[in-house]
Amino acid sequence: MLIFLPFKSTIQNFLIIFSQQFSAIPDNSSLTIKKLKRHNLLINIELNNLKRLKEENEKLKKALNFKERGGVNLTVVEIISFSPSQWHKSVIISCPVGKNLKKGLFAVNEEGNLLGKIVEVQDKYCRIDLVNDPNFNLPVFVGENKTGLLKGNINGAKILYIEADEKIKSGDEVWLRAGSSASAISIGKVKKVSQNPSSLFCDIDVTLLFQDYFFDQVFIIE
Amino acid sequence: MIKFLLLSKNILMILFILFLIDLLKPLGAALTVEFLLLGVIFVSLNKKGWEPVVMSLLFGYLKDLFVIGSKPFYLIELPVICFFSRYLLTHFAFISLDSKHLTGFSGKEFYARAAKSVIVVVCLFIHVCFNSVYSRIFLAYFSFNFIIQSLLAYFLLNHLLNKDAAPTPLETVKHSRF
Repeated sequence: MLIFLPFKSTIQNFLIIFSQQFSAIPDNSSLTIKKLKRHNLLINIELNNLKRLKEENEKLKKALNFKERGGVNLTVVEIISFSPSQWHKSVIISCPVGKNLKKGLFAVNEEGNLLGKIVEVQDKYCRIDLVNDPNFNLPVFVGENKTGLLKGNINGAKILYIEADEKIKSGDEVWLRAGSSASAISIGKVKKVSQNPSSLFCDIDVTLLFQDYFFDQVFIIE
Repeated sequence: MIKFLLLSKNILMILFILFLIDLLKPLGAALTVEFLLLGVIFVSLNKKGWEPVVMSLLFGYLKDLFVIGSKPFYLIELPVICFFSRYLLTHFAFISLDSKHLTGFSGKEFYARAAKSVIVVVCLFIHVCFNSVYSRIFLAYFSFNFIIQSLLAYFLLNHLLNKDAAPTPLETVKHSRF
């Protein structure tokens, strides 16, 4: 080892210079890399935008299918915000210019499942109570033609005022009609039917067809 | 008032961000947590003076604007929770001064953290009771889910926000009625 020590610094210098020859990149190359990175970033942004547009397009196609199948007029509205309380399930939507939204109109998703109904209309915004809001009440059909009152209860909904002899079973569809000529709007399915001996009516739990909150648009049936 | 708000602009900013998270729900229905409530509890437990009360009044009013019905429910509820948590904090600190067993067993820091966690659970329970009575609906599973998720979210919030030395319950007590 001692023999090589006098040459140590010389060898180190040589190695450094040698490695610099390989690792050093000319200025124009580094500029090109920066440019390519920037370009790559822009392409990624564009790609994400296109993905979002594709999803939106698919949603609108589904909504168009529902519109043609159901014979209804749909208005697309953007959601501004959700209710900040977990005990109230409502959303605030922007009022589109030139559209006359009224209290009581139904809001559906792109597949035509009921989301809620308009409960408050202001100049710039409207408020929609979702189906699982505790204040939500709506007369609905169950199965073929039995009628009851749908009431939201945060986790889902219940149907009230259906007598025990109506023969409701789990899996029966819950639906309503937006108008006399319009087709049915699905709400959910009967999850459980139980009978309270002290009551005239059945206790019916409903599983709603819309389950998630990840939506930024709703369709209003006019 | 403006001077007061300028002085407490950091708290104002944090609570406003939490309020926006509540409004926009970036995690959808996957999380049953009210971040503003957690923020108010956090501020009540870590700040002395009138700041927490004023903030709870201000954000209670803001929250009422976005919730159906014109009744000032959150304008009353959030200050009540704020006062109650501060009262409980002084109560816990009072016990810690007298109880040699607790302080000797676990240390002041651990005791302060445990006391604060208990207060958070009590405040969440009060919130559940208030809302269940107000909306006339009680769902055991939903309430349990809300308390557990909120508690975990509070620990995360506490970890993120409480990096600076916050006053312990004992320090808070020195400035309060004890």
